[in-house]
Amino acid sequence: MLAFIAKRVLSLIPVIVVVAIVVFMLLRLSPGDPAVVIAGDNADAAAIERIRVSLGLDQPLVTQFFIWAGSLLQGDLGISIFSKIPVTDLILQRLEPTVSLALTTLFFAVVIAVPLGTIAGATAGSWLDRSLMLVSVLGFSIPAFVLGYCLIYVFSLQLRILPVQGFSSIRQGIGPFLSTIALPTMTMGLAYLVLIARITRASVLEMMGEDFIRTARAKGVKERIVVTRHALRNSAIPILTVIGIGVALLISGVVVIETVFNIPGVGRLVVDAILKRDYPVIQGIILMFSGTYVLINLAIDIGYAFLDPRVRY
Amino acid sequence: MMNPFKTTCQTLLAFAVFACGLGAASAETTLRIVPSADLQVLDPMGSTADIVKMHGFMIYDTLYALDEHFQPRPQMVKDLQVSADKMTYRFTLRDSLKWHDGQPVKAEDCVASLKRWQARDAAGQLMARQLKEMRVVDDKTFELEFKEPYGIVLESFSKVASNVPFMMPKRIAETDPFKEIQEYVGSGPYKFAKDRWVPGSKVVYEKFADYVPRSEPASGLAGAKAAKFDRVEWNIIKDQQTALSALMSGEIDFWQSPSLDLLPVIEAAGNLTTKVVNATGTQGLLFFNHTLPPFDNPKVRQAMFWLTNQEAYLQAVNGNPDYYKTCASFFICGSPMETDAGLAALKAPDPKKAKALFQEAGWDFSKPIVILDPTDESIVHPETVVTVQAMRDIGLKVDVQAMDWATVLKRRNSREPADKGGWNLLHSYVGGQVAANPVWSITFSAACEKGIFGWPCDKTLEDLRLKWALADGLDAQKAVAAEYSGRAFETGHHIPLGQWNTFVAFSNKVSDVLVTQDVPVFWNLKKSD
Repeated sequence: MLAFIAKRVLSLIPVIVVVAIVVFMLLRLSPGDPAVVIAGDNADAAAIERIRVSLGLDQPLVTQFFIWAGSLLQGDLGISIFSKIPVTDLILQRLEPTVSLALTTLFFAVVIAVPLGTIAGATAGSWLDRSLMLVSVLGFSIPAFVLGYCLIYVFSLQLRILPVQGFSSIRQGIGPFLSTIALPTMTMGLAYLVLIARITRASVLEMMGEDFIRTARAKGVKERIVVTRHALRNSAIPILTVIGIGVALLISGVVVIETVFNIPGVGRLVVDAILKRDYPVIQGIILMFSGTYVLINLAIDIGYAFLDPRVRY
Repeated sequence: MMNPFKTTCQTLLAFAVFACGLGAASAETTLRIVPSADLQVLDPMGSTADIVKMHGFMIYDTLYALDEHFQPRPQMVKDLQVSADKMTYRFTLRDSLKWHDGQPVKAEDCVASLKRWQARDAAGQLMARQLKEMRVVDDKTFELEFKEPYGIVLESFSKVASNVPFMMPKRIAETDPFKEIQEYVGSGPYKFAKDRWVPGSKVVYEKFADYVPRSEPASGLAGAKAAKFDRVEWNIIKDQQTALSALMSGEIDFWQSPSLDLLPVIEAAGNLTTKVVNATGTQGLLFFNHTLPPFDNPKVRQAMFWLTNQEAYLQAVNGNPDYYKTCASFFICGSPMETDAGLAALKAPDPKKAKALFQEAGWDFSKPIVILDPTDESIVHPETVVTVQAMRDIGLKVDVQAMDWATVLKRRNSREPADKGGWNLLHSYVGGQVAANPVWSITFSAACEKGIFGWPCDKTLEDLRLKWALADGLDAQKAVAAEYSGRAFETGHHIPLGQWNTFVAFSNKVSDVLVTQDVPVFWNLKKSD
C-alpha cells in the first residue's frame, strides 16, 4: 500500500511542473498589461513604461519565468503587483471562506444525497423515486446564480432571517458563521446534491439486481440491512468518484457563489486578479487549485485501494 | 447519535449570542459603503482611477479644494499672499494640522508633496515648467515663484481630475514618484486601517481624532470635513443585485454606483434615497488613431463628427433622458469652459456629408476599419455598438474586435498597423472634471508620441493648452477654450459623445450627503439610528 501511495505522490510532481509552465506562458502570452491598469486612464506612455520597468515586466519572458520558478522552489509565490502583499498571505487571507464553503457544501450534499439516492435506488419506480428524480432535474436546470438570488429574496429580504452577503469566520462564533454560510451552501450544494443522489440511485439500483443481494434476501436478511450493508457498500466506488469530480465543480462554482454572496474567498480573488492581470496572484491560485485537485484525486485513488484491494495491483 | 432538538436549541442560542454581540458593537458608529470598484492601488500618485482618488480624500488633505460651484477654496492653507506681479505666491498653513502619526504638518512636507505630484500629473508638469523656484520660508510658510504670471495656481492645487495634489509627510513624499509609497500617513479626517484591509473585499478607515475641520460649512470638496463616524468600511460588492439587496436589507448604508436600470426598484423600496453627487457628470469619448489610415487624414476624422448622433450614444449608454444630455462641447457642459466653437457637426449630424468626406479623402470602402470592443465594459461596449452601426449605415466596412477591458488598455498603446495588433477607433469616457478644461488631463494633449494614445499631433493645440494655463482671468480662459475647441474640430482631435449623470443610493437614515462635482466623500454626512 505504501509503495502505491509513494508512486502516486511522485507522479504529481510532473503534473505540477507542467501546470506551472502552462500557467506562466498562457498569462504572459495573453493580451493585457498590469502597468496600464495601475497607471489608470489618464497616464501617458512614459509613465506606463516606468511602472512596467519598476515591476520587472520589461525583462525577457525567460528571465521572468526563471525568477518566478526560483522563488517558487523556495516556497515563495511572489508578491501581488497591485496590493504589494505576498501572494501566500493573500491566499491564506481568503482560504478560510472558500474552504468553509466547500466543506459545508460537501457535507450538505453528501449527508442528504446519499440517503436519498439509496432510498430512490432501493424503491425504484415508486412515487418517492420519481419525485426525487424530478427534483434532481430541477436542481440541475436552475443556474446557481438564479437560485442564489431567489434564496436571498426569500430568506433575506422577505423573511429577514439570514444576511444577504458577507462571511463571518467560525472563530467569531458558530451562529454568525452558520448564518452567513447557509444560503451560499444551499445554492452551491443543490447541483452537487442532485448529482450525487442520481449516481447513488443508479449504483444502488444496479447492485440490487446482483446475485449476492438475492442470496442475502434468501438468507432472510432484513431489507434495510440488504440495502445499507450490501447494496450501498458495494456502490461506494462510483459514489466516491462522483464526489471527487464534484470537487472540480466546487472549485469552478465557488467563483460564482462568492460573487453572488460577496464572500471574500479565493474564487473572487482569482477573478479580480485575472481582470487586472495580477500575474503572481493568478499563478499562485491556479497552482493551488491544481495542487488541490490533484491531491483530492490522490485521496480518492487511495480510497479506491482501501475499498477494493484489486485496485492496488 | 445527534439529537435534532438539542442541535436546534444550540443553533438558536448561537444566533442569540450573535445578536447580543451586534448590540454591543453598535456603540461604535460605522458607515458601510459599497464603492464603485476595488481599491487596488494605495498611492494617490500611482493611479488616476476614481477609487484611488476617493481613498485619497479619505486620508489626505489638500491645500485648496473645489467648492460645489467649481471655485477653489483654501483647505490646509490659512493665508495666501500674491505679489503684485502675480509671479510669487506665499502660502501659510493652518494651525493645528497634524499627520496621522501625530507629527505636525510642515511647509517642507507640502513642498515635497507638490514636487512628487508635479512629476506625475499633466497639470503639475505644466506648473513645474513655469516655476522658477519653490521654497520653504519657515515651518508654516512656503513660496512658489514663477518665471511669468501663471493663472491657474489655485485651480491646480484644487483640481480633482487625474492626480489630485494630496499632501503627505516629507519622508513619504520623497519616494520615487514612479514607485509606490509604502506608508499611508495623511492629515485627512480618516486614517487608513491597513491591518484591517482585505484587498478585493474590505477597506477600513478610522476616525482621526486630532483632525481640526475648517470653520466654514462644507461645500463640495471644500469647507469643514467633519468625520461623524468612528469607522467607515468599504465593502467591495461586485454584483449589482447583491449590492441592491444588501442596501435594501440595511446591511450597507451607501452604494456609490447603482446601474440606472435598478432605479425603479430603488425608488420603490421606500427606505432608500438617490442623489446625484457629481452634477458635472461623465462624458463619452471617441478616439482616433491619428497615425494610421483612414484616420491619419483630418478630413476623415471630421467625417466622423458628422456621423456622430449623441442622442443615440446616450440612449445606448444611459437610456434615461432625466440623467443625460447632448453637449456639443469638448469641455463638459455646465462647467465654465463649455463652448460649442467649431462643433456645428455635433448639433446637426449628417451621415451623407460624412460619407462624402470619406469619399473625398479617397478611402476604399472595402477596407476594414478596426474598432476595439470591450464587451465587459458597460459603457464603452454600447458606445462601440452605436459607432459600428453608424459606420455600416454609410457603407463602411468595420472589423469589430471583441475583447476584455484590460486587453483594450494594453492594446490602445500599440502603434502597430491595425491588422497586426493595432487599432483605428476606440471609445472611452471621462469624469466631468477631466473634461473641464484643456489642461487638467492628457485627454486634450496633442503632443504626438508623448501624448495620449491615438497620438494626435498638433503644435497649435499644445500652444493653446499653455496659453490657457497662462491666461489671466476667467474670460481670457474662456476665449482660449473656444480657440482650442475650433482647432480641435479642424484637427479632429477626438469626439465628445454627450454626457450623463450617475447617482448614488443610500439608506433613508443617511443624510447630508455632499454634492462634490466629482467622487463622493464621506465626511459631513450622518446616519440616524
